[in-house]
Amino acid sequence: MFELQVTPGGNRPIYRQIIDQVRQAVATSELAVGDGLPSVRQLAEELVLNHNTVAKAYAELVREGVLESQHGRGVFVAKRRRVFSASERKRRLDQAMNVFLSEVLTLDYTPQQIEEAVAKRLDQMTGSKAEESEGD
Amino acid sequence: MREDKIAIRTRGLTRYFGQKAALRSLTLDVPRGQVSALVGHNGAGKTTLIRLLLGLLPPTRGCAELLGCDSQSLTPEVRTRVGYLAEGHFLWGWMKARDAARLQRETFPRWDQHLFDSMLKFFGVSPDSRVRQISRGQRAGVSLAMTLATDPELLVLDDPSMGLDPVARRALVEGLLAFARRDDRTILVCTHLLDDVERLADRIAIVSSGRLLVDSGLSEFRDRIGGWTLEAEFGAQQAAQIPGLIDSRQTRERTHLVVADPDSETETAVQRISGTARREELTLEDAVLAYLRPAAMVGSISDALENVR
Amino acid sequence: MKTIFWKELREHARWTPMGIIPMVIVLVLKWQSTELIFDSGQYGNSLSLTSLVGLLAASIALCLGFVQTWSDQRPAARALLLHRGITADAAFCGKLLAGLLLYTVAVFGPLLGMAAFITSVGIEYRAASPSALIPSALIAIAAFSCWAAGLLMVQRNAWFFGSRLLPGLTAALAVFACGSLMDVVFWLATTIGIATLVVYLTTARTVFVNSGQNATGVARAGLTVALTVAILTMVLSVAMMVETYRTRAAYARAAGNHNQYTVEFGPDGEPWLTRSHYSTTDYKYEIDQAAKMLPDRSVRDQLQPVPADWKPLHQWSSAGYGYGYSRSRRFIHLGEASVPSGTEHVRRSWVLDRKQDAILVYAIRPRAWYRLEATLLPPEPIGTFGEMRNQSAVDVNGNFTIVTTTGVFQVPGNGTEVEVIYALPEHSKELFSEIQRQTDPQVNQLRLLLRFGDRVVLLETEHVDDSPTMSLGPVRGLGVVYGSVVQLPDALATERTISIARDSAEGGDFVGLAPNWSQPQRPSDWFRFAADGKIIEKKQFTVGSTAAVVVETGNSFAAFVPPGAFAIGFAIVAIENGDSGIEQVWSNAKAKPIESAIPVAFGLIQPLLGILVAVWAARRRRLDKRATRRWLWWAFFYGPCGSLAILAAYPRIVRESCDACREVTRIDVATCEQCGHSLDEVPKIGIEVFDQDQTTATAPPQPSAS
Repeated sequence: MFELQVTPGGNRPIYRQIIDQVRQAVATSELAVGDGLPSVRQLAEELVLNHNTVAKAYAELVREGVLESQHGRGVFVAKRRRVFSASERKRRLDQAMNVFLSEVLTLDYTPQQIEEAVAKRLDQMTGSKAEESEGD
Repeated sequence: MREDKIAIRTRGLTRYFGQKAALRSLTLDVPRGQVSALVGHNGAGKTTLIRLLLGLLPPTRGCAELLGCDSQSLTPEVRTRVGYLAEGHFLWGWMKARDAARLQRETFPRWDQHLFDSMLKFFGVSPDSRVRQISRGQRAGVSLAMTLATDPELLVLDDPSMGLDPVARRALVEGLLAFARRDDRTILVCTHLLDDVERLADRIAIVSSGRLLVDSGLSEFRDRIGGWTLEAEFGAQQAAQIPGLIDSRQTRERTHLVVADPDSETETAVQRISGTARREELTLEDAVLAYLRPAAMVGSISDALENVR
Repeated sequence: MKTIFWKELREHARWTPMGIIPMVIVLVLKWQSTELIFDSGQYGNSLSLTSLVGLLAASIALCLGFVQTWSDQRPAARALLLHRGITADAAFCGKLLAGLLLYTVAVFGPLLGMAAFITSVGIEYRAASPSALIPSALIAIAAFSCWAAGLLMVQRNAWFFGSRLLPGLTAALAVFACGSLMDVVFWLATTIGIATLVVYLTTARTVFVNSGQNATGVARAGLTVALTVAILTMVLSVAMMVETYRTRAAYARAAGNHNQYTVEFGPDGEPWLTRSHYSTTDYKYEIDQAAKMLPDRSVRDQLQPVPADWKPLHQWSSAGYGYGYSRSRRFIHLGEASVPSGTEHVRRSWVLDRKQDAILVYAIRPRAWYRLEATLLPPEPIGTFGEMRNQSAVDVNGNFTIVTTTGVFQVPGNGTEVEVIYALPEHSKELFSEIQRQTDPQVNQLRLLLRFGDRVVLLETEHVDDSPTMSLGPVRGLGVVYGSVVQLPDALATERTISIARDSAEGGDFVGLAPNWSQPQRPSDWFRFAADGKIIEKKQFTVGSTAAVVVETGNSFAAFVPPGAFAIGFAIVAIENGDSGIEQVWSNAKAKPIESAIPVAFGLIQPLLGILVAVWAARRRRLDKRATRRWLWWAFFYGPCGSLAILAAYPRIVRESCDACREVTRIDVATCEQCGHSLDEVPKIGIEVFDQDQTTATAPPQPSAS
């Protein structure tokens, strides 16, 4: 069963932690399409969080197309679909790469090594349903 | 309706004690239906602000409104809609827990005896135990129960977790969250525990030396504060080059900068000082501490270091 | 209110024994130490029951006010008290009622117990009446103002130590004044008591409700009055102490060897001014000089030595008013003596009980234990003692004489019956009387002048007793040796003191004197008249100064009395003494114009100083023109002491330099006094994080301060 964990005091805001974990769970297929998530209220109670924080994370996930909200029934993992325009997707990819590369480049790896590592990880996450990733 | 959206509103609220300003021109809106955390170091003016809000202290200048009613002339009806927990969980020592209930029951029409009893049970306080004889945490429990069981629309808490053990603290947070979930309930909570703030709050307000420096949604606040780490000398001269610098903290070899509303201009300024400066993810604590550290210390410490070199 | 009342009771009921115990102790000790009469009249008692109870009740009230406020003064406690569905007014009322109840239990409880004790068995041990406790109860009501004073002292946000403390001083003073005036000028005492209570409760309420600020007119007025009274009293007390010390020292220098001047009938029946020298060896006055009175001026400088056998005529005299027997008193102490009873002596004391219309005889045992021995009823056929007018001293056998409006009675030391010496023909309320015992042992007689309307009864009893005591001599069974009813000439039937003597020169005629003691510069009358009131001869004379010791009283005291206080004092004298009081002041002023003008001139300094201080204080507190003008009136009437109240009545103005113009400006208004810059526009530091939709830039609406 998929379980969320949040740690206050971390350097990522709590609603971001929720988003990240749900995204990851969907990416690693820990959560399959159509799986239900606890309601905002349940999750807020469970995690001892302000329900607005949970609602905000869910809303963000719904907006990104990761989750969908079915009125009266709850929140479910959505079929993957494109919610962003082409240019937006490009922008987001660039942004993520900027962060990633600026960090990685200071670590004295060669471009080949980096490419290999990325490819391997990509394979793990999307192809062969590997067990665990090394955290966020 | 103006009153519908804002639970607490202050305009230019100022209070002096003698020559000393405890609160300077504070203008703050606390929206309804949300949890706002008020953060500041001891003596920053939080308690003064709360006493002014509740009309227990007259302001030197400016005004405050609680649920649309001027703080200086709160009607009994408005007071019953506001729950207030004063700093230190004060209770008269001669009271028994049941006396405390009686005191509240007779003056708050929506008194929830059931809630009071169950909270008492949770904290392990019998209705016949005298306040003077129970532990500090239990007293806090009675005090909280007295406040929450009045079923207020607006809850103003001054350091409610003071003296509570971790279990009771968690119970407090749970209780407050449960309270906040009911519609349109507003909480203004003063606290030093930033973890609790993260769990509880929608909004954060930071008061430092009597001035309001931050009043914003919690996530917006975190989005708007940026951090850098650099391995370079950093003194007053450098500090002056960075707009919106809140705080710089020197560790052995590095300097950590915390900046408000960073943009490309900030990035350039930081890079100019040190090419190897790196963007840093900040915890809420980092961001808040930057505000709470006395601003003067930044300059003076770096100046002192400069003189040594 | 009910809730707060209950809370206060629960919290402070445990203090009540602290009030009850000292109250009981005071009452018991006072009862024990009371000599025989435990009545509301507290004459001649330096610390009367009333003042004692007042003092104690005031302390209890003050302490109660203190504890009731002190514990709730901490912000958290105050919040818990006031933040609920009640108004601050209701909270105050709750506190007030609880305080009143506890105070009532502590103070009135013991008083009621005492009253019950007196009613049931008291009279067996003391001539006691529960009404003795009425003044105490009244003053206890006034003393409750100290409760409010205690509250005020704790609650007020004052910077100056004194302006917190002084209101308490005023309340205590008012209670003290109330206590000492209670038996003298009842209406004034009551007025002071009620006014103090009202002023203090109102002020305390306002200050309580307004979180310690005296922002309202009521609190300000109350404080002003309280502080003015307190400061003024302190200043005047110091001045008075200095003056008293000076005067006393002067008296001490002058009084050692002095003379007394009186007007007497000379051997010729005419008025003479006599000088009696006070002998410090045998403590007696002996006439050594005399001069015949002149109609138009004092003869004090014409006194001539007289031979040792120069004697004035034996006279009957009568004080014009003031018998010393207050109508409000139930008990009158008649005398005390050690009387032979069988082989031993018994100490007895006699008290006239006006309510029972009887004389109570108490036996006194060692250690002042009194026990009721007998109740003597008025003799038949008179049936009542009427109003007491005069009495003689008690002789060795315990016999003495009393004069009442119904007659002259002999009270025997051992007997059980009161005897009638002379029954007045009618029960007369107008009756004045004078009992005189001649000091010369050879004529040790009882001489009585009973005067009613325009007639007098002159009585003289024969001297029989030759014991060398100061006794009157037993008149029992001897009757009256001389008694006659004389018609007074109209001019003698005055309110003044009169003296009458049998004219030695003209057998059956009388001479009468009505010296004008109160206005000795004005002419007094002398008559020679027949028994039917016909005037034979009439003269006027001037008494002139008869003061034995003349001491210059200084005027320094007057310099400290501001016109307002003077006016109040004058008004009290005028109301109390009627026209005669004012007349006296006026005539004194006319008699000594220069001496009277000096204090007035000094008194004028007060308003001037007061106005100066007021202007200074009003500037410091930044009062507007209208308020300043009102204060100038107060300053005019109550001098600098009154002006100082301004400092306490208005909060201190705090100033800081303005961000825009760098000038110093007050911080309790929205804009800079100098440049009009809004003080709420605080320059930004650049690190503020606010939501987009809220900005501090919008100028907030400001309630105007002051």
